Amino acid sequence: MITIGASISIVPGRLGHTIDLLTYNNAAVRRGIDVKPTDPISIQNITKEVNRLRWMSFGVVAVGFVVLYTTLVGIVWRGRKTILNQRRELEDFNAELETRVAARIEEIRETNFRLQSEIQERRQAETELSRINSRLEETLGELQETQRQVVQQARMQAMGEMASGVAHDFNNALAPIVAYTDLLLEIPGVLDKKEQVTTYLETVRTSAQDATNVVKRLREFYRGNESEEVLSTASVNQVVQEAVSLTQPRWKNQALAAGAEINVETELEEVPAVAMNPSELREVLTNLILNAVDAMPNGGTITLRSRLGSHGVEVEVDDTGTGMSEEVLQRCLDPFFTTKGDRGSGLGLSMVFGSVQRGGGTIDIDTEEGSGTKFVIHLPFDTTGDAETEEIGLPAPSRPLHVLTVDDDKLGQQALSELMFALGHTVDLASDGREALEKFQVGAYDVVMTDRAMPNMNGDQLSAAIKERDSGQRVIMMTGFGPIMEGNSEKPSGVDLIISKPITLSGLREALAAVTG
Amino acid sequence: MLKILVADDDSVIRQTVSDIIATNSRYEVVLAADGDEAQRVALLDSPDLIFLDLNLPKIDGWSVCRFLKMSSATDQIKVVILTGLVQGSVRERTLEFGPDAIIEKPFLARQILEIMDQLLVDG
Repeated sequence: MITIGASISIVPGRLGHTIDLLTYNNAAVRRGIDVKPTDPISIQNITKEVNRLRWMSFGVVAVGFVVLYTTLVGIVWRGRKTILNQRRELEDFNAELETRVAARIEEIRETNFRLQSEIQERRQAETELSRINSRLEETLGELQETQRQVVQQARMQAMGEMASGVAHDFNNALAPIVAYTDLLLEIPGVLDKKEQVTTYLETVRTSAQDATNVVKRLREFYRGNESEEVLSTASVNQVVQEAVSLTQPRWKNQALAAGAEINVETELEEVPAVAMNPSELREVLTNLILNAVDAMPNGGTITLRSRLGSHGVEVEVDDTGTGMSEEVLQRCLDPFFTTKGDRGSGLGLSMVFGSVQRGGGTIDIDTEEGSGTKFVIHLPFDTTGDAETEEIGLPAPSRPLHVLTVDDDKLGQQALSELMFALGHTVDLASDGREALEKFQVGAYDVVMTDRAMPNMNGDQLSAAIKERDSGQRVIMMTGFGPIMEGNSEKPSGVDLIISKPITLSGLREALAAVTG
Repeated sequence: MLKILVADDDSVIRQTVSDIIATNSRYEVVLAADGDEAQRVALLDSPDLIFLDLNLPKIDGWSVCRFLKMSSATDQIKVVILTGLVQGSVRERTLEFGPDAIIEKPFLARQILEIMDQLLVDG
């Protein structure tokens, strides 16, 4: 204890001194030095002091403990507070995080919901669109049908008008015949005047001829395109003359109507045939002439010209009428466009345009307001032979051809072969479609001639198959059915020409020339 | 002499009817080629009878007929319609200011002569 007390060097005063003494004594004893025994009072003092020291040290220790304890408690306390704070902060933070997350989730949910709605809307719109689309298609189909019907109706109406005009003209042509013959036969004295009789009879004859022409006009309209079946070519000048005489009642009447005269002149040169249906060409020219008449309410001149062009024949219808403005010129070929108000169907020129196109030609329009209009139609030459199908015209001599004939009728095929040899051609035979195709793959033929009615593969199918393999191959179809059937039905695609049996030498020659010309 | 007006746009018809009328010396003929001329000649030449085609240019036959029948200057002219248009309505239109007779084309010569005799009996 003393050692411990000695180390507290701050112990003050006497005690300190006593301690030093004791220490010294202790040390001396140890070293064996003699020392004075300390004063008994000192020893009492020392004991007192030591006790006091003892109590002091207890006190210090106690205080120390207290201080330590308080400090520790303080530390712990603060520690706890800090921890509590931190925990609270953490909790707050966590709560905020959760709130934010919840909010974000909510946002996402909303967005998702909106997206879903949008998708739904889009889907609905799509359905609606496709519904509208199919309705539009339907309507388009209906409109096209209606257009076809309207065009048909206009045609019928035009035909009806023509027919009633024809009836009127026919009656007019008959009138002098009926009247004069009645006069000559029933009224006494008339027959005696020879000169008059002659005049009357001449009028009768002319009227009878007029009546015939009227009937011819009628026939043209109901026969339509079917008449010139096999070789669609037109002798231009002939058709021009026909159109002029066809329209004569109109431009002749016009002369008397307004007191104005319409002259129709023709300046026709020698031109070759064109590849166009004669009745179609006639309808075209008739249309143009009548338009010209309408354009000349005060009279004028219509000139029709034909001449050789660079790639074909040019036919002109030239009038001295009112002409067309730029705006009218742009639209005049449009269907349903008319400058004639209710009277006009607007279909005349568009039909003209369609016909000329079908004939492989083009139209030029030269017009000036106040001076007149000129329609120039360019038509390509007809390269397939003679325009006169009734005449026994000899087509250009053809080179020797190598021909494949297909027919299930052996005898008929043999007869055809004889004709071919007579014309200087060589022939391969096939008795049905399959054999024909086999031979066709291997051989090179200028022409394939096939019967129409055959078992297994008929002529139509065979032709289509051949054209699929070689679209340039010339195919002639032979048919035993009457001319009416051929005339009415359309030429099947794949067939360049149809001829009917029995086949004659000249018919065969013409047909071969036509497809290889 | 009774004056007959022949109004038709077809010159052959005009000639035919004239020739028929000419076989009877009682009649003389004047001609017109359109409705306007027909009315003018009717007013100026005062014919006794008119053969009137329906299909006249400028003014059609029906209008000319009405005109003649409505006007006191011309309502005594006999009107005979000549028509090649055989329509049902032709008959119906004989009511008001209508013609005195209708003859359809083609007609016999005798029809022309007889109708004239019939309508112009009183000279």
